[in-house]
Amino acid sequence: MKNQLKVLRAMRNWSQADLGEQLDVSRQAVNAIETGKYDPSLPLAFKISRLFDLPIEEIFDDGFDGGEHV
Amino acid sequence: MTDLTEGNMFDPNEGQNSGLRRPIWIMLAALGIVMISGFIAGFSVHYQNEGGRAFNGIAAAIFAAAILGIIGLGYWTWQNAKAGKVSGENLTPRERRRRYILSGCIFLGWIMGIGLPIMFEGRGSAEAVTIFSNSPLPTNIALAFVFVLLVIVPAITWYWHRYAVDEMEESAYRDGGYYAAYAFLFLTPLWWLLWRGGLLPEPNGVAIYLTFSLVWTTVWFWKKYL
Repeated sequence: MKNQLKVLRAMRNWSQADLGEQLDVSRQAVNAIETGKYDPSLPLAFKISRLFDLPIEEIFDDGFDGGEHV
Repeated sequence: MTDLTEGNMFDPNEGQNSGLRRPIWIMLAALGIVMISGFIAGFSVHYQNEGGRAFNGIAAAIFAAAILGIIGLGYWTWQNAKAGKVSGENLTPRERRRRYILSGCIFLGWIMGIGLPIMFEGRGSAEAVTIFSNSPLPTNIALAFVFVLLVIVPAITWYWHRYAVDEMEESAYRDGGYYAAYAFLFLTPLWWLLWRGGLLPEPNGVAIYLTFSLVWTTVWFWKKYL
């Protein structure tokens, strides 16, 4: 899943270790989320959202284009 | 917070996981130390059993080379660990706990590698504690292994998953478990049928166990680091 994590982290001058420490995950997890290799759980997504004070959908993009649901 | 400049904004492992190389070499070096230590212990016991009579110049040279090997690997490991720290390889608390647990397990393995041949001195072949052996074990040693497997290993595993592993790694473990379970479900009856057809030797429990572990570990590594 595409996301803005790397940009948001860079804006705050945080390293992956800094962000990992605040989220209580490893640097590998931060790296995997940033590169879209791993999608965080809902609790972790909420934690990220609260940390950056942004709604989840402004951080993560699931590619949904607003089309109609069946 | 880390004092970041434009040059070190991102961690060394970012993107291509280039920071992975050092920990892997350190782990391999630690494994080498454990194995050489076990060799030294077995070597010493062998010559003690023979009353030291056959301990000639060649044996002394092998012994010295093994000791030097341990010192060399130990020094190399220490230097690399120090270099990692200096280059700003910051660890999160979970990573730090993981490192402590791994170091403790390597130390425990080192103690067992040295201790087992000594415990077996005069009580049968040390071959009995090798992984593919079916030789009888002294009851107290068998019970000691059972204690380690039933009490110590589960306790370490619980702590590992509770405090050292994060959700991304949990996911890697789960994926590894799926692959390993399917490998077990498909390969075990396959081997059994091929044995009955006279095409393979009798299925071996340890080989199946090791294959299961290898598949699980390989997938875990792939999902976590690559």
